[in-house]
Amino acid sequence: MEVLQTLKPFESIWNFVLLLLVSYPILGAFAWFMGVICYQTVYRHRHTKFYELAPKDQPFITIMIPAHNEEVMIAHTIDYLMNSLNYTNFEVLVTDDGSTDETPQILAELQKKYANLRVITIEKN
Amino acid sequence: MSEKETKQPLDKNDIMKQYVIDNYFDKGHLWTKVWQTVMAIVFWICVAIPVYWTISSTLLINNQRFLHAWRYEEGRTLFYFFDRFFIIAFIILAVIVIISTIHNNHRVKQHVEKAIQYDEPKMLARKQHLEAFYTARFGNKEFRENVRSYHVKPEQNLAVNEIHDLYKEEEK
Repeated sequence: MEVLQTLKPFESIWNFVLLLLVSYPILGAFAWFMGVICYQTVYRHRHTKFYELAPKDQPFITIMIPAHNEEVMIAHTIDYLMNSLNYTNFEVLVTDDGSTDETPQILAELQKKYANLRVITIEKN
Repeated sequence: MSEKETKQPLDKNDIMKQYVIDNYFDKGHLWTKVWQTVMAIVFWICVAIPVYWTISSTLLINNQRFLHAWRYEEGRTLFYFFDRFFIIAFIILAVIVIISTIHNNHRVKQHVEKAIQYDEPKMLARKQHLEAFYTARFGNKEFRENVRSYHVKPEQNLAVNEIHDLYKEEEK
């Protein structure tokens, strides 16, 4: 192995550490890639089939949304959750973490529209 | 459970259509298609050039049909060293990952699906402590789960590690 004689990566621990420092992104990427392949082929407990649940069988879930000065996005997010999910037995719980903009007013407006929207206001974060 | 098994599974493509919007693969959006195609080609060229730069000067150094980007003995030494190092490292990594997956198969089948993996009495006790703590601070469970709008006063805020300390206190 003449290359090993030229580069001497195993001559001292520091050379080896340097080698790992240079190569770890490639090794990490390869390990990740192998992990995906194994998950697809070797792993036997994957969930691949999903079934639509009738509303009476649906367990009740709470969707939690942390919000701090989100006046730009909050109405869009909540409208999306309330109207576009294929699930009915849920509530949305927004935690308004001391917003100083219009977020509380927007949430108050939305609460008139949606019965399953709950709001926790943290007065001081 | 068996009732659910007999139902028709959801078709992934139908669900995708409902939630995924991709202008590139939709009808129209000609401008998006043109510039995204151009960008894809440009950046694939950025990938190909360094690969050619390296391969032409090492593995293909004796092949006269290719233009050789560089000719340095040290460069080739480095290339062949990394070449060998990565092949060995990849084999070792692949073996580790495959063995870990097989071990995971075994673990799920023999342990995760057969018994609860946490300390249940301890968890239930903790749940009770937490329930008592929340009732004292925010009101009873019935109220907490139904109130539509609640204001947390500054003095009600949780301190750093407060729950952790509560468990420690109760489990002494």
